[in-house]
Amino acid sequence: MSNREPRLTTAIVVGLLAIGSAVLSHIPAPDDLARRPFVTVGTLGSSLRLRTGQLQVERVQASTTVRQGGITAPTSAHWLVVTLTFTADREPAALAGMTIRAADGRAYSLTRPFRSSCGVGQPGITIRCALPFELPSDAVAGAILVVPAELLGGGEGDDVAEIDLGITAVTAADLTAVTDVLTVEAVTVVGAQVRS
Amino acid sequence: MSADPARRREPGGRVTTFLGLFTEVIDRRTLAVLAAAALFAGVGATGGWEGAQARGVVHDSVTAGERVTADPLTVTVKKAFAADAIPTLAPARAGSRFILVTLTVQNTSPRPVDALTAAASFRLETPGLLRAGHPVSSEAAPPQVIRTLDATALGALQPGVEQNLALLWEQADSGAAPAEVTVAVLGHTWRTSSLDGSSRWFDPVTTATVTLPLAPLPAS
Repeated sequence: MSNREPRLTTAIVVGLLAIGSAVLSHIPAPDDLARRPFVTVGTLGSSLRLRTGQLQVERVQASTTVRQGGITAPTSAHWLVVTLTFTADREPAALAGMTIRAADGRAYSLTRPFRSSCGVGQPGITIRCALPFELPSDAVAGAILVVPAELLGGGEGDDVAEIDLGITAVTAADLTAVTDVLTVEAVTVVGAQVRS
Repeated sequence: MSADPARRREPGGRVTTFLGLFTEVIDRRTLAVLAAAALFAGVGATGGWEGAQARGVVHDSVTAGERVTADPLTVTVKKAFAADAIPTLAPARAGSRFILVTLTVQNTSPRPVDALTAAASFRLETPGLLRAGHPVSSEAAPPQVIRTLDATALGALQPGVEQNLALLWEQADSGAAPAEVTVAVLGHTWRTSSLDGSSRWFDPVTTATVTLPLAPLPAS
């Protein structure tokens, strides 16, 4: 065996290991693939089915002050109020962990002083929720409502609905111009749905 | 390979014996180069040098009204007040006074910052602080965080929304109120927990300190 052969072999082995490591770093790990949510895409007014029930966004409003129950809250930004209906399927189900995703990827949560969830919907009973999200004006156009089927895991490995709220630059300007107090009900019962 | 049993028992002898197993496949110089390369790659990959550099950073001392960046927030500390009681926020308590600091905050991260992280971003470097009526150190006394807009407790800081806030600490009223107080602003790092895999803001580090004159709270 010449003196150069072991070094050449070592260099080839190290090189192949480095290439293999680089390739592996660009391939999703099995755990990452398993945790990816199952996304259902929808739009304002369309009916979507999650594994826990049926969902429909009815309207989008905005104001700098929102009154909900006994709470009146102003903001230095804007309250974007999303009204949706939800009918649980086979067992009681809660809508929680909902966020707004802005066009640039920023995420906005429900938070105090308002409710952070839609409460628990009973099977076959449709409930209507008004959800105030606090957003700066540059996050309103192109906003998407993200609704996980369940709170735990934040949608990882589970059903997630992504609903385009249909807010263009023009409608965003109209929405962010509103300063009158907007009064909304947190949760109301719409009624029973007859299953066919 | 050493055949001497006494030498094999020594730590150095064991290493020599171990390395001797590879002499026909790879010479010691190449092995040393590979070991050095592996060491450098390992230290670099784990951010060892980066961490050492970060520990050497000294925080700034800024003035009131000066903007400070302390991830995930930008903070402008404004004024500090002392009072025995604050209407709607802090009723009078025997043996206590309240220190209130006003500031403007903006969340510059792409996700909401919860109220606990917001509170953990500030520390009052003053002795005699109380928590639930008991004396605690500055590190163990996070402030109450209140929205000045409606005097309610902060729920979360949403990205890009500027908030005027008040921070409220309780201090033992064992003497005269200090003439000035120092507020430390702490930055955090967004990372995954090694314990439960969740991603949160961890590792608070003092980014800047602001020393403010402590004035009596105006009556209205």
